[in-house]
Amino acid sequence: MGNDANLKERIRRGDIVIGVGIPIGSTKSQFEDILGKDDYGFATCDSQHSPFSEHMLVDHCNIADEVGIPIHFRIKHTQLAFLVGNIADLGPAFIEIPLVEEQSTVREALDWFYFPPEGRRSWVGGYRWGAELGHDRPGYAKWWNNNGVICLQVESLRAIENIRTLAMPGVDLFSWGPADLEFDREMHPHHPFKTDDDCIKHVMDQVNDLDVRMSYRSGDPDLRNKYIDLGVTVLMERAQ
Amino acid sequence: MGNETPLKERIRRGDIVIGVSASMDATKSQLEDILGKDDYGFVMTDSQHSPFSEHKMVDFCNMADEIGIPVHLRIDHPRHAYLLGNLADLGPAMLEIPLVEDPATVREAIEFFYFPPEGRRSFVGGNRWGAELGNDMNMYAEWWNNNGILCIQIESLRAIENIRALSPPGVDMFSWGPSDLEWDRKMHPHHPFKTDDDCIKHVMDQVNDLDVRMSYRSYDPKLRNKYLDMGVTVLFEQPQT
Repeated sequence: MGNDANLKERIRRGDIVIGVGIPIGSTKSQFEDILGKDDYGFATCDSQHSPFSEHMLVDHCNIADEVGIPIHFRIKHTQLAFLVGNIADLGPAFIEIPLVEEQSTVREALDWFYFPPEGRRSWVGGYRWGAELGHDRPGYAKWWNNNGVICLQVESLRAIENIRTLAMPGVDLFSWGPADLEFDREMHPHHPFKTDDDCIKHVMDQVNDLDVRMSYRSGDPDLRNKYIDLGVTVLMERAQ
Repeated sequence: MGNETPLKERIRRGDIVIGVSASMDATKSQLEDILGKDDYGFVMTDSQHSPFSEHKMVDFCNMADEIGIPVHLRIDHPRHAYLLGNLADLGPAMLEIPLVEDPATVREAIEFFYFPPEGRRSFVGGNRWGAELGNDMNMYAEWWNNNGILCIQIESLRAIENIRALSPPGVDMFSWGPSDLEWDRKMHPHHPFKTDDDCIKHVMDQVNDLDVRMSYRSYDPKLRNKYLDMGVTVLFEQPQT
């Protein structure tokens, strides 16, 4: 388990939290070099646009555990939202689902992410985050439900227009897909949201009375203030 | 191919069969050590709660084949029941589907597990169990249909209440998920099945006129008699130290 066991709480209450990309396959010293450059709250890795091996994710999460940083992992596809429980058994603390547009995807993700009674994640794998907490099933389930972080990536005008229907209780965070969203904006040149910032502002207006927070793949640390000023509280950056 | 070719027949006729778990990363000597501790009928692996690699699965099945023990694999999710034929091409003799509740899942599993005419599994991968029998398509299909073992894991009250609908011909065995079932029982405190044993007894009563058998993840060899006395005939255990 990473030392940062309060990550979900920090995200939920709106603390500024910075994540940094560390690709699966990195060594422990590479982790330490990257994490030594700033005060990061989690390390991000990806299977949507990168090759994926379950064994390598386990190894990656084990290294992260040794250096005390929770792992964020983006799954390969929206239609694999039903696998978030299986993926959680491999060690990540924070799971992101890309290209979300449908409320049914959100329901499915929540169903398989949380243990009963909130969801129906199955008990359980030995490589799970926090495995050292032991085999007290109700105790671990409660711990996971209070600590595991679930994030939905919003990357289309349709998702943005329906953002409140995607902001169901249990969703901790939205993330942003500016590249795919730009494709969508270019396909809808008469849409009232002309820019990425228009879209962010609309989403922030729509969800600012809800518990869900907003993150952005800003990449560059120099862009922090721009997105924080827009109301984003979680930033995903490249390694410095 | 494991030496234990009559495994499906042994299970079907109700012989007591014990399986033992092993990591897909185990070496041949580690597997031999595990298997040397008792008279095991098969070795169990898991992709529901453990990392999975198709290449590692092939290597593990090849190693088990050299030792002469059939391999069981639990797939990751009931939504992947349609992949049973593909997974069977990697070498296991027994496939288990977790969290089954819906008869449609069972139909899909049977369809992709068995070769025609019973199902529609596609012919075929070179790493399959029994590949040394050769490439006579019809002969291998008949052999697989008579030897491959299909297991459905029951872990909810809904599944238990509908157990006969989950028992069509082609299902060899049920397995049990006591942890997830306990959650479900707690969410339904007024349900007539108050204990795990109540649930097992109900299932046994419902299916005892059918060909399907019952297995249990009892883990500890000391619990064998408890479950055998309830009518369970296949036990899944942890390696003995």
